[in-house]
Amino acid sequence: MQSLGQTIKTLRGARGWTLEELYQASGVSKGFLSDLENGKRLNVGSSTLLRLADAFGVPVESLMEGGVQVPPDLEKFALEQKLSFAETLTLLKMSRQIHAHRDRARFDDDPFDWKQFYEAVKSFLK
Amino acid sequence: MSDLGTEPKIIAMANALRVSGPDLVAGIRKFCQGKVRRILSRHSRVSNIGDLQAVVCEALSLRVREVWSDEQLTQLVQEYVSDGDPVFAILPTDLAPSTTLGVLIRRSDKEKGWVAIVDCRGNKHLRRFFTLWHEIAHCFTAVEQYELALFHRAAIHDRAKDSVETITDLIAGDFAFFDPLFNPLLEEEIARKGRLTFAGVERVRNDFARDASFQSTLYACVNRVATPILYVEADLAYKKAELALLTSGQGELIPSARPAPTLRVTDTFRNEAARLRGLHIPKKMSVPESSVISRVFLSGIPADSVEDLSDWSSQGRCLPALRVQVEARSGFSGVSAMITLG
Repeated sequence: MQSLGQTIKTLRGARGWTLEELYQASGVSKGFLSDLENGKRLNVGSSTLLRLADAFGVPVESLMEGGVQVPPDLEKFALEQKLSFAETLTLLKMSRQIHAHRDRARFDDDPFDWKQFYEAVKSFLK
Repeated sequence: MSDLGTEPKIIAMANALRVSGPDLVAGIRKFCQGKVRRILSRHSRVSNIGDLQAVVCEALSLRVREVWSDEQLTQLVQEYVSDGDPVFAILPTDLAPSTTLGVLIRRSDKEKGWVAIVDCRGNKHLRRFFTLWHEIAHCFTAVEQYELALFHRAAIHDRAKDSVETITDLIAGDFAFFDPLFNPLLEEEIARKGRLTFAGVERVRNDFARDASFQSTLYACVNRVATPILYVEADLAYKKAELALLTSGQGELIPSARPAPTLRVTDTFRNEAARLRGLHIPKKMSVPESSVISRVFLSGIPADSVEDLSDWSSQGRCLPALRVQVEARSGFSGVSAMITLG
């Protein structure tokens, strides 16, 4: 399981933010964020957590539970479509509801068609 | 089977289900059988496969929705989208290919369980029975952390089958043809005719579940009889070297070198008893003209004969001398044959 600092770093990286931009979005100081990401600081107060979760647009629990691994192909698609991080997570969560397909022509190594999936559910993402 | 047990996905599944031992595939199947036993211990009146399906689905919080028309699909999507699950909006796209038979979706509110959508439109209804049990089998092995690690969409054709789909088919076979319900009918048929025949498989299918396909019932019967049986499909085909010549284009340069397809074994399936007795015909092997399989291929009329497998030869080597009963009949393409030892 990822540490909180690793999760913050992953989320920041996924959005292409610098520490400065995360500071602007959350109000949490760059020094604090840097210490957190580098494992120099382990304890974080609930108000700081809340501000970080708000900045990323994710529930506080997802920060505490080790964050969410966004698959690289979804990350690429989300960047192309300029999806918000919250929209990307919703898309991922929805896709994971599909547990299995019984299909005679699709294969395990076929890439997931995020575009097709997004087109079908996009009106429900907002 | 042992190869399947060494696949990383099967090992992960076994770990998630806390199954261990030398044969993980057998262990996982046993795990599922235990689940069904516990379900049945709470329901005394299960006398047919429909009853079994009902009690198992109820216990798994699985709702089965069959879709027989585009209109039904539209209604189903609207129903679930308005109940908080927009993921169902993907279904018209997802089920559009003629190859997609079913989808299993977990409701976002986990209290609401699962929905198995079985597409019965067009020819897809022919696979409805086994598709339903396949989705049920997925629910048996679903474990949260395992799913997250192995979210997959898999296939059942041509390319090497996904290991999770393979074991799911095995589990589905265990329950779609549930032994306590299926075996008495099969035993009655064998007692009446002395051996398994194509007509016997059809009778068992009629008595057990008319929704089941002939092919899946055939596999279930062959797997359960104690007599060694090898099921064979044969059709006009090329051997590997001939195919290579054709694809290389050299046959075009020298017309006389262009090979003609001959009647060959295209697919086989055998039970454990056949494996133990060495009853086997390799794929692509040429069918001898003396075999009833060749005669049925030419005439189209079903026939039986007693033959010796040593009549089958390839590159100067014969199959072992085994006296077998061969029942052959025309299939969708080519010939299907049931070869029974003893």
